[in-house]
This record gives sequence, C-alpha cells and structure tokens, in this order.
Amino acid sequence: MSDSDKEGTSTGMEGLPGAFGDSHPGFMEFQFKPVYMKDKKAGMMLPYNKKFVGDKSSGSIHGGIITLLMDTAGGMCVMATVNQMMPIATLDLRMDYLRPTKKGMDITAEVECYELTQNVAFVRGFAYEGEGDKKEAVAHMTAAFMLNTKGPNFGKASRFSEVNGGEK
Amino acid sequence: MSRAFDFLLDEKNTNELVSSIPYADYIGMKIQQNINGEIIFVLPFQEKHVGNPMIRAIHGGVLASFMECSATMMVIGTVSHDHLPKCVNQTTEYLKSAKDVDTYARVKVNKAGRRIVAASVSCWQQDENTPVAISHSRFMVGG
Repeated sequence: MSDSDKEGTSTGMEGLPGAFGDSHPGFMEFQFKPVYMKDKKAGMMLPYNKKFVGDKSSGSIHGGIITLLMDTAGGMCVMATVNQMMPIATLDLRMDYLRPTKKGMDITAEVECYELTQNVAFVRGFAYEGEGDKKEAVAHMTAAFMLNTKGPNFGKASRFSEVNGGEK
Repeated sequence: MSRAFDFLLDEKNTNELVSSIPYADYIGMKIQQNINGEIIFVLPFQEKHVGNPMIRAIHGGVLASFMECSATMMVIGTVSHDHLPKCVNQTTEYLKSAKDVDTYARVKVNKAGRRIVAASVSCWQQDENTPVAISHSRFMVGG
C-alpha cells in the first residue's frame, strides 16, 4: 500500500479511521486496522491472531471473524461513500468462503460501494490473504446497508471515545 | 432422539466442543438446553461485542459469526462427528438492532446430505418470536 492511498480520506472524515480503529472498544479488541478509504472503496486489515482460529489442526482462522471484518469494512466504505458518519445498519450480508485461510496470514478486506440509492447502499468485496503475486481471495461478500437509521449522527464526534450516552 | 443428538446434551461434550474452536471460545458462546430439552446456543453479552457504542448495539458481524459457530456445532453434534464441517457460504438477514443483552440462537438442520448440510439459524434476545437476525448456511461435511 503506497502512502498516497492512505491519504485518500476525504475532508471531514478524518475521524473515521480513528472511529473504526483504536478508539472503538470492539475494534480495539479485534485489532482491525483501516488501511485506506478512497473513491467509494475501503480497505481494512486483520492481523493473524491465534484467538481467531477456527480449525486447530490447520491453524486457519474462523469464517466468523472474516464476516466481522467484512461487515465492518462495508460499513466504513458506506460512510466513506456518503462522505458523512451517518448512522447505518446492515440489512443483509452474504459471505462465500472460497478457501480456508493459511496459518499466520493476515487478512485484508477490499470493499467497494457499487450502488448508492436514497436509502440503501449496496456493497461488495473480497477478503484477501498474501500480497503481490501471492495475493489470493479467501472470501467474497455482498451486503446491503440501510442509511440514516435511528441513532445519533456519528458526524458530531470524530472519535467514538468522545461519545457517551445516545439512545438505548 | 438419535445417538448423535445426545452428544450435545452432555455438558462435558459441549464444553469441549466450544473450546475446540478457539474463535467460539473467544466470543464466549455457550451451549445450553431449554426446559424442553432443546439445544439453545447462548452468547452472553460482553463489551467487545458492541459495534455501535452510541446505541450500544451488538455488531452485526459478531451476530453472524455467533450464528455460524452455532450452526457448525449443531452440524457436528447431529451429523458429522469426525470432521470439522466447512462453511461454504452464509446469508445473514438483520431484522432489528441487537441490544446489549444476552443473545440466543436455535439451529434447524434443513437437509443433511452426504456432502452438503443446509442449516438455518434464528437468533433472538428477549422474545423468540421477534428474532434479531436469521441466517442460512451451507456446510461441506466429510473428508
């Protein structure tokens, strides 16, 4: 990933990688790392961790954590596309597990928002392992997100840690 | 009730099953029985499950992975003891936002084929009749 890609974040969205990264209780736990956000596309990385293993015999990570990564990357991608940290909700999400992951390999999600309507954003993407020539798709995701759902607007705070309260 | 099904009724087996999948252990899921003796999967609420800290909703991905783990374990318990079933794909439908309370799941194995097992999972919190999410998944079993 070149430096220019990392600087693709649009104006007013500087808080977004922070919100999806180390200031979020869940994502801090899962160690998701936003990589880039640019032109309706977003990338997010999941470092290999023994805690996420699904099959002890091969050391490949569980599909569930890839789903979690793809859902999060999809959400980040939608916010990047609408250029606002509006409240969104996943309507549905389909995962296809193309091949088991290899032990010790980091997973990178590359997601794009291919259609945006008034209320719904359609997102698709692949999860890859390896880099360069050895880059292999391990999973494919398609999802639909509802825009402007109930809840406070994320845009008022640049980091989740600055937020407290909100409706229950 | 089949012999295979009895497997999940033994607490020792279920504990071993959960700890044999590190990720299931990590999200903290458990296998229980309800008063009718049916297998219910439980995800006790933990702070790390929160996806939207402003409305304190559980992350959709956590729910999806909980449902995938539940389905995997049900398939192990009822169909395939010897091999870990591989999830081929999963479709998750989110019906309402999941609050910061315990989540329950019930798995139905719709078809247990020789190579593919199809299962559906319904996931709820306070009321089973208003599920928070539903998923359909297919597993590759055997060799």
